[in-house]
This record gives sequence, structure tokens and C-alpha cells, in this order.
Amino acid sequence: MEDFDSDILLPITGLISSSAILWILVALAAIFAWSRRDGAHIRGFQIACGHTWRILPRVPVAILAAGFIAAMLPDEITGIWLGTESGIVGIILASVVGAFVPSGPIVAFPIVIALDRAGAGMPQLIAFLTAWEVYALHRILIWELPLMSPGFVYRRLAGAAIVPPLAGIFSALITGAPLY
Amino acid sequence: MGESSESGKQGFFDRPFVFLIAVSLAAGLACYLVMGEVVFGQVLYSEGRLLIDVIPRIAAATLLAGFLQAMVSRDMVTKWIGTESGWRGLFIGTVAGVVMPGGPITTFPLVVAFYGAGADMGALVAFLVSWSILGFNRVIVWELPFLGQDFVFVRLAASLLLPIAAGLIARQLPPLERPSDPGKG
Repeated sequence: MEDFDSDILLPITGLISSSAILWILVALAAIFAWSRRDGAHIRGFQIACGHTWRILPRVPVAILAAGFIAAMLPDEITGIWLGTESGIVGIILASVVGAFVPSGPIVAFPIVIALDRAGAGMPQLIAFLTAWEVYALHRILIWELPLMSPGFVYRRLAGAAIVPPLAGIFSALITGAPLY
Repeated sequence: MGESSESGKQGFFDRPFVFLIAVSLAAGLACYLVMGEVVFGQVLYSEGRLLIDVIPRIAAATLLAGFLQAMVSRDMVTKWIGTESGWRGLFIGTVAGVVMPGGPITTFPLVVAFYGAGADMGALVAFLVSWSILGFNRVIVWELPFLGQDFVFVRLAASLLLPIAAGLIARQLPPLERPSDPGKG
């Protein structure tokens, strides 16, 4: 468990096997959708094409941007503030910073990759990602406030406030990373 | 299909994409000038390799998410979270959030309508938090290809009970006045 988060992103063998698992799941889902005889397999394919059309051109650009920024980020600073050893302080810091990422997944995920390369720990990255998912500043402003009432948004945010740091703390407990 | 892929309807070069391209070019130029040619080349090489790994996985992931989305009916999710409360409501809200297809345009108004119809605030908050941190679409399409199964496993295990906690907290807050007609907002 010690080296669990030492290089979570590029263990090539792991990538290949999980890729195979993904394609097996795709085949199973396709067969299951087709066997329903209600056109679900065609609808599913159309939904996927719509997503792919949007995602595919953006991913290379986002990954390159994250790579360039990660190369310029001083590793020592990221390591001290968000590294595995930063413990609960790093988890809380990551929870706050992640809440202010003002963009969708195409930008947010490369940022997580960049932080990982620059030495952030897994519990800290999980707190960061969870904070972005739960707060998603752009989503609150563009969708949530107009579509729901402020009273609703306030109750959701108040309930969700503990979620990112707890996700980080539980992750540290699971991986055996230090909390302080 | 239109209702389920609201984000897919925008143009190819929309403003966020243009912004992303500008950031990428600026970061590349800065990296070249500050860190030098060697580091710049290393970044191009390692990101290229990452892309070769990630692109087929994204293709598989979007297909899987598409098929699942086509099979989960919104009516089913609607029936679950519309009425339940108590511990059962929190639990069902969490499960419904995991399988809820679609983006914010369909989800947020649905929640307001449920509240107007008498649903429990705790269950609805559990549903919304679950939808944002455990929703299968984002986990499959983004998290698995980019971050790998170890990361996904740890994060999901650590987050499984958190929507319930969020719902419990939201229940402690003073109740919100119920909108009689969700359409009026």
C-alpha cells in the first residue's frame, strides 16, 4: 500500500488491463441495450457520438496546457502544500482550491493530472477533485442559481461543505497516507 | 437525444474551447521561454504518450456511458426520489444520483419540482451530491480514462456515504418554503 499513489497515472500495464475491461463492459452494455429491442443501442451510440464530438478535440489541447503548466510548477512547493505528507492541512487546502476551479471536466481533469505530476498526494487530489465536483463554481452560476432558488443552493452547499475534506480524509485512511 | 446531451449542442469552436487553445498556446510559449527547449520537448513527448493511452479509453468510456444512459429511464429515477424520506430516502436519493443520466439542465428543475411536490430536502440534497460526486457518467467518461482504476476505486470507496451525510446536514437547516408551482421558480 506504501507506493499506492507514487505513480497512479502511468502504470502502463494497469492502463492496458483496465482498457480491456472497459471494452468488455462496452460490449456487454451494447448487447444488453440491443436485446431490449427498443432502439436503446442506437440511442446509446448517438449519445456517445455527441459526447465524443465535443470531447475529443478538446482533450489534446487541455492535456498539453496542463503538461506545460505542470512543467513550470515548482515541484517542491506543490509537494509541501499538497503532497502526501501535507496530511490534513493539504486536504483542507485542496478542498478550498478545488472549489474555485471555474470550468468543466475537460479542464479540471488535466489540472488534476498536472498536480499529480507536480507531487500532490492521492488524498489531496481526491479532496481537490471532489471539491470541484461538488461546488463547480461555473455550474452554480450558470445553471444552479437560475434553475433552482438561492435557498435551495444554500442548503445543498451547506450540506456538501464537509464532503470534499471527508473524501480526502477517508482516502488517506484507505491508502494508509498520513493525516498529520 | 436532445434532452440527454445538452452540452453536445454547442458549436465546435465555442468560447471555452477558444479560451482553452489560447491558454495552451500561452503555456507552451512560456514553457519554451522559461524552461528551455529540452523541457518543452519532454512535455510534448510525455503528453503525446498520455494521449495515445487516453484517447481509446475515452472512446470506450463514452460508448459505455452512452449505452447506460440510453437504458436508464428518467421516469425510473423520478419515481424513486419523488416520494421517499427518512433513512430510506437518503439511501434512495444516493442511489438515484449514481444512475441519474443527463446534465444540470434536466437535473436541477427536476429537484425543484420534487420539492414542490412534497419530497424531503435531505433526500434531494443527498441526490444532488451523489449525482455530482458519484454519477456514473462522469466517473466512466472522465475519471477512469484520465486517472485510472486505483484512483477511482479509492475515491468511490471514500465517498460512498458522503451524500447521506450531506442530506443529514441539510435536514438540520430551517425548512425552505415549498414552491407551489415549480414553473414560477
